[in-house]
Amino acid sequence: MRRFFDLAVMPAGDGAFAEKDSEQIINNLSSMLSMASKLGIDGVGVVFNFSRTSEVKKARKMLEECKSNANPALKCWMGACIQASSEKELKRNVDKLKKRVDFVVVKGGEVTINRVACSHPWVDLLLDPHAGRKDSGMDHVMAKLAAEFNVGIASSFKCLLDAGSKKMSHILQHIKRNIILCEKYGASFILVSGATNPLEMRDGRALASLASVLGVRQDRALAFVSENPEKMLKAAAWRRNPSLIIPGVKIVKRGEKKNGKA
Amino acid sequence: MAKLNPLPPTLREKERWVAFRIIAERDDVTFPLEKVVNSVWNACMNNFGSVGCASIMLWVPSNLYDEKKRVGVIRCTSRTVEMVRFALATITEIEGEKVVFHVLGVSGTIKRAKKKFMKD
Repeated sequence: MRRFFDLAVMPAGDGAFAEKDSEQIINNLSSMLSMASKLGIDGVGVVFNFSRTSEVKKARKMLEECKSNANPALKCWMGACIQASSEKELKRNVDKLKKRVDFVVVKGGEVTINRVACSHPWVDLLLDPHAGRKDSGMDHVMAKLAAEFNVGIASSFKCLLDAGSKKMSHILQHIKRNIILCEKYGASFILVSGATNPLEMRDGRALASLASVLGVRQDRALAFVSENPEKMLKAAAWRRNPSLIIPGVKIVKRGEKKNGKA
Repeated sequence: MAKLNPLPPTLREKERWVAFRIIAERDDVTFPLEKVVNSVWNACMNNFGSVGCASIMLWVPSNLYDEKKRVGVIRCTSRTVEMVRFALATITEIEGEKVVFHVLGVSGTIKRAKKKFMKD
């Protein structure tokens, strides 16, 4: 049976984690997790915008607390959303957070940021490369880089819900272009809800229908919410494997089977 | 008035029945059928226009809508199920109340849709 994932659920909103009241975040997060169970989602990636590394522990504690009250079948991962205005800031923030969270999400928009995110070995997801732009924010070079560095390209459903009819058609056009590029060059394209409250969440098939109406085959559209996120999470876990020294070199204990990847 | 002959089966479009549930912020709130139908039609018209809506063959049967449980069924053609799913996903509110349309499933017949998705 197909499993559905939503890898960008933002209970603290787009703003910084520190700006929000922790009780408000906990309430929002627990209602989001119960909504995810209602909608038949199997895995949720909870994403926060951290400004300090000390906040990560606090957020992890909150997630564990909410997870214990939610459906035990629901799997949760914690990600860091990085909003940077320059290449230097992006790299600094990624280095700071890369091993403290389960995956790193970079919010796109600027071409330089999109390009650096696509070619950074520790970035797992580039969210909305078309945000605030008049084009799709990606070209074939970035798509090739994203495929090489195993960076997922994600588009959120929330930006469609927030947009008016004219802007929505432009966003759909940009998403279609990004899907074509990702499919051509082998980068994994992922559809996420990008929800900041429970009523912005959508079930897996509803997210996949976005790709279907853009002309993507049904099986590929479903892969955007099931296989591709799963692959991305596996790659993220592999990167954060403590026995991995650098890609290609791994500490193998005596008697451990070789899995051929590291 | 003379009645039209029904379309031969080979020329008929294949139907699908999309069962849905409306999830709202509050549990006690109910939505009348008219408002639900309007919001579904508006969503389809906004996303696909009049030509797209014509190909969907949209119909919300009144006898299958349960106002208390907020569960209902939408008829569409087999080729436009994904379009209906997308249109339902873009609905964010009915009468100022924030909602989510959750598709429970798709069936080929009304009988099966009732049995599978609207039993309890």
